[in-house]
Amino acid sequence: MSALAAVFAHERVIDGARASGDLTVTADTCVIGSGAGGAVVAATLAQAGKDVLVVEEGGLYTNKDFTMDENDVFPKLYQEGGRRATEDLGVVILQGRAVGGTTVVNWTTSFRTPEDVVAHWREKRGVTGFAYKELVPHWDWIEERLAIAEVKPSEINKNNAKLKEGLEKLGYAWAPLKRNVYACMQSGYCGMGCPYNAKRSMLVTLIPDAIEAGARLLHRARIDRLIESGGEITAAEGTLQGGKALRITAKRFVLSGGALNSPALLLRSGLNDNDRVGLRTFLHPAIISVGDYEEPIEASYGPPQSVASHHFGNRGDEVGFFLEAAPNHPLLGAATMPGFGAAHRERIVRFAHAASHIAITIDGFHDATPGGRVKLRPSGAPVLDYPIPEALFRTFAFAQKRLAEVQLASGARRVLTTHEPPIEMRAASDVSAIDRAPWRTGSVGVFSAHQMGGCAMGDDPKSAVVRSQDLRHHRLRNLHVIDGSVFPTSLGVNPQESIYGLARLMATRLVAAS
Amino acid sequence: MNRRQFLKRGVIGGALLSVAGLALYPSRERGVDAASLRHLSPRGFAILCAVAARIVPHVADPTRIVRQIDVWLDDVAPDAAADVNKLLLLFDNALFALIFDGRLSPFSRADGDAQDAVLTAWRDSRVTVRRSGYQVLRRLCLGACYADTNEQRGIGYQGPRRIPGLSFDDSKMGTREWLAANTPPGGKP
Ligand SMILES: Cc1cc2nc3c(=O)[nH]c(=O)nc-3n(C[C@H](O)[C@H](O)[C@H](O)COP(=O)(O)OP(=O)(O)OC[C@H]3O[C@@H](n4cnc5c(N)ncnc54)[C@H](O)[C@@H]3O)c2cc1C
Ligand code: SF4
Repeated sequence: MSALAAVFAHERVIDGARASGDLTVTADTCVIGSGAGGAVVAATLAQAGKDVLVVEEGGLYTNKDFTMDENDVFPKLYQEGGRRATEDLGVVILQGRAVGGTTVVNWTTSFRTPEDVVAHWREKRGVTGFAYKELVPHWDWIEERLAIAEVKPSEINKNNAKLKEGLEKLGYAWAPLKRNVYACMQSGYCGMGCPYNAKRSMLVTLIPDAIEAGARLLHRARIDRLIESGGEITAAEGTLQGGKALRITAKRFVLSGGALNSPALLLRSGLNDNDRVGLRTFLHPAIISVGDYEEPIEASYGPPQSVASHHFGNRGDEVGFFLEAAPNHPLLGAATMPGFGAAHRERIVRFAHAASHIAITIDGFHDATPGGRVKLRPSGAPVLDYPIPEALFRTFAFAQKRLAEVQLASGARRVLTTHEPPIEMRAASDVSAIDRAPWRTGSVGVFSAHQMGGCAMGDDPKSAVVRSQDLRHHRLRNLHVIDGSVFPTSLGVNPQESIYGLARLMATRLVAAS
Repeated sequence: MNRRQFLKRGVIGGALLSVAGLALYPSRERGVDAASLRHLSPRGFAILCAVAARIVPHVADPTRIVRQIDVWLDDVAPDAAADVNKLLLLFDNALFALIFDGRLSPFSRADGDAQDAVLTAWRDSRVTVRRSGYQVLRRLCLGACYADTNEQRGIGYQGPRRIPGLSFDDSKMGTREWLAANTPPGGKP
């Protein structure tokens, strides 16, 4: 038996779907969610000798389940099978649901939080509980544990190489990315779970660390509500897959369900003291440009992301954005390609020649981009009300033009937007047509792979949900929220490493305080 | 509900969806065993088959696509799955078509060109619910079509390049201690 299989075969790993009856469990600390935030907290506390129970709604899937087939893998690994969207359906929301959380399906790009973002939080959002330099040792630690390193030039696939070439030709700044991989086989399937365990996701690193250090993992078990009494959470009630009931009592609860899910649990529990829960949820809303090249691009294969441009990250009064590549696989690729009938078919048969480049907008720093609000459906499931503001549509149009220019500069014979109907461009002189495109909800493809906020940290209990020095709920003494939902703005970079660093700092403080 | 709220409510637009079941002319039914469906109603199934036939006309049998979508609805929030049925009834609703497009017959009873015109009218509509509804139906049908490996080959996707038997089943791989004790795959990091 391999080392990983031995860890997951441990009796401390419990499959909620196999429970013979209702389950009652007690723990010192109950961590709800096993993604970027939850896994770091669980490992840190367990390694400090604490009694930890991790509860995860998704299943424990390992590399043998990662069949590289979207139709097989999406229902296992994604929230709502990959079909989550904002309430008005204007933004497709990709978010993970499995042991390891979204880190199992992410594309491995690794950035520390930019220093000016932490400064902005301090100055404008009342986040004074930690300084940038206090995060640095925790990023050093995670970078070593996850083998985070810069890509080698030989690892840049055609899709990313076209982005790089266009950026260089137009004089836009770009840089190679860092990835949390070791011995990557460059398959291209990071978004469907790494079949080789080369991706250093939480599934193959800190979750096993936590279990080895004594933590228990209960998967296929969803927490439905937290029970409060006298300013404390006394229990968490939930449902095991298959319908049996779950009740957990613990001295401390750490909520790490990720954006949308963490605020939804607080809302379901009636814990919305200051009417701030779910507010200021950010998406890094992204638009796509499809470049059709003479030569095959084969964007399905190779590391999905290896270069990025932050040239337009700061645009003053206008919303900034950054440019990256996105992998292209047939199911999502076909759904993203605009049109229907013969028009769609003519475009999709160029699948192997299509490059897919994205502009990721940076919401939450301007008054005009206040983010969305998490609400509950009648069933209790979260839904995000995120009307795309005019300021974002303006940035989309500007960014779409830059992407088209980049693709044309790197030799695309045709560039398509994802409008309905799409704008088709064959020369730089066609690009201005983008200004006349229908920039409105439902007329252009917008997606989010980065959900942040909704349980904002900050020192003022009137405007924040958790305190910034320890991410403890402002009123509830034994409830912490430690995941991407605590960010008071978006980040302007891909979020995973920001979450790892912050979670590790806060978990270290929890250990020191107990 | 004011106009903005009404338009904002997306597919869930309650008032719109509540009239979805009323029809001047009934939908064209397609014989399907209701017990074989997980979420779609038989009428929703028939309407979605008609939609799929226009979204991916090269597919000979759209029922495969619609059965796949029915399975996918297992994973979405239960309320959202119910909304898909309501959206389909609205899409086929002749009263609604008459008000918005001056058209009298349900989508499922129209001929191919007329059906394409309906899809285009929803696509270009000034009403957000219709544009978003068009996108939902379009994406579901396209995704379900190209979920099939034969269809994937037809657009030049070769499938994964598997490296049989290879996996690094060791959570410590890449750490400093691991490197000190092991030769990494390929000789050096
Ligand atoms: C396709 C894709 C590509 C991405 N690529 C990158 C990238 O390259 N770089 C990067 O930095 N970021 C990337 N991200 C985003 C990044 O992975 C996430 O931002 C990060 O994992 C979020 O961490 P989290 O702890 O907030 O939540 P998650 O990692 O999402 O973990 C939350 C977990 O909690 C569980 N949960 C939620 N509610 C409950 C409940 N009530 N009961 C029990 N369990 C619950 C969920 O099932 C989930 O498993 C990508 C995301 C996607 C979808
Ligand atoms: S590209 Fe590398 S990290 Fe991503 S799935 Fe393939 S082998 Fe794993």
